[in-house]
Amino acid sequence: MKADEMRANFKAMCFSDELVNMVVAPDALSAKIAERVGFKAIFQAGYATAASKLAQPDRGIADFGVMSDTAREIVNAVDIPVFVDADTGYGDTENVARLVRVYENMGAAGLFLEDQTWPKRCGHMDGKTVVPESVMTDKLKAAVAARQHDDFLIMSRTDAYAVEGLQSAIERTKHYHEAGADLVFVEAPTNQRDLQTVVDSFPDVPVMANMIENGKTPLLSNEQIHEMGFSIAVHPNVLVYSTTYATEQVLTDMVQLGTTKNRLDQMVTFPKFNHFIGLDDINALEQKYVTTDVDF
Amino acid sequence: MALSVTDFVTPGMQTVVPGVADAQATKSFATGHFSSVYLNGFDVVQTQLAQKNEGLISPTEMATTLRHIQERSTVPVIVDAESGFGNQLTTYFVARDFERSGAAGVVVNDQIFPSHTADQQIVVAPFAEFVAKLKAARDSFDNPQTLLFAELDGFDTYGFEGFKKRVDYLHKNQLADVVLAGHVTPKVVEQLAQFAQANPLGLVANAEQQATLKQFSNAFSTVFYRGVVTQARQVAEQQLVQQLQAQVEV
Repeated sequence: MKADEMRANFKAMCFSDELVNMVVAPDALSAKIAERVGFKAIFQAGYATAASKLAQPDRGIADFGVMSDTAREIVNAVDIPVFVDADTGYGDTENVARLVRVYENMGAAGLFLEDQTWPKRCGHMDGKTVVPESVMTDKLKAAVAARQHDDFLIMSRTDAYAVEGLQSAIERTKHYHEAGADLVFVEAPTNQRDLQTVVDSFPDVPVMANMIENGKTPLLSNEQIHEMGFSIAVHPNVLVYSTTYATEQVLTDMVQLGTTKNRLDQMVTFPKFNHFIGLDDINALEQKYVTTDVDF
Repeated sequence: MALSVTDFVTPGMQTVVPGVADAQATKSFATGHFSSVYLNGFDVVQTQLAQKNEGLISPTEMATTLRHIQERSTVPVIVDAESGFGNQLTTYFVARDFERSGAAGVVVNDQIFPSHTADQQIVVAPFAEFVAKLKAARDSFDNPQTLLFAELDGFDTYGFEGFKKRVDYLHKNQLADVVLAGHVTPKVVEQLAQFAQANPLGLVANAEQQATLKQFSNAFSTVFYRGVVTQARQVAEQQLVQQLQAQVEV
């Protein structure tokens, strides 16, 4: 089954010596493009989903319904593992138990839960607050208890660095790992030294680094991240910012010039896009059943 | 279709609002000439998730159900926004989404997030937070006829005096069109019923409490029944199961 394969692949990647390099896909199309150009895993996350689905900032307006619908669209569009941002779990341990079943059933490879209060903020925004550690460990335990496959990976994310400092973030994360988190993530350290301290604190656990352009954490290359000891890199906003830029450019031209002719060399062509999006495959699928021979 | 606030706040002229979980139940009650229905988290969670905790459903899922109801029905639907699914910010967007999806009224309760169905799981939010949510919900409405219902769920926490103080404040400051009492136990219903004779107050009753509350429920200016349609379906489903089992065994 595809879901079993995706989970197993993702787990093998996370526990290998190679860096798991993930981009956040705002939607199914961008996920398919990422798969096409060579990404081995996809992330579905709040900042991009709130932007693409609601045209809203990442401030807790995208609820479980919006997030899980988007995750399902992305999972169904690609044949590589999709890891999911489950935010705070959208409630308490009972909500967490429900969402683990939903994401596992749809074929996601795993998810992360974070310790912010709800409604949450993007990890690189100001004004964050965190719940007591025990609230988060209870959620992680509920997530682990609810999963049906051990290789559906649960990651802990702490936002405590900005609120309580580096040491608290590391302490919390140690307890989150003890509560069952297979993978760990400390959000938004503001310098490379602290990033190094984080990754050095977890020699036996895959740790994720989050690379946001113009965010609070210095932007490092995948090579640097891997050398520091991180197992996973995620690039959550690159597609939001680049598609916003491209859309703005071409639409401005259309308003001002009334034509797209100056931008044609920056676009995919009609036949190329049709080929990429799978028109030939769809036509072949239809044809397969049109020509079914029935001896009746 | 718009609701009239007087239908909900006139003592002695009680409006009964049956709870619904979907378009089928809404259609049934419309046939029975009920003037409005209550799409609530408890019924939706029972019907769609086979669970009993209203807090499990997300507002996006509630709004999708509401839009399905609106496809064929013109009965005004009052929709349960629970405790706003977060804080005043989320309440604003949830109430707006519900109104845009066709809600004629929105109910916000004074629990913390996530809202719960079981009495023993209820935690009351600070009153100032509840007031902020009501203001946010009201501000989010486009239609001045959309009604806002404030549901006080914390009688067990703040007692009768605290309850009365809250009702007075909500009325005096016009923070909601209708005040409802939720999670009313048989122990306190008589006290609330007496209060309701002189003050417009609605009651939210669960199916299980229906019998106990019935002798006092006439005092309330409106009664919202949650769980009744789900309970009726469960009874009918059990009968069907037995019938089919009997056929199989024969």
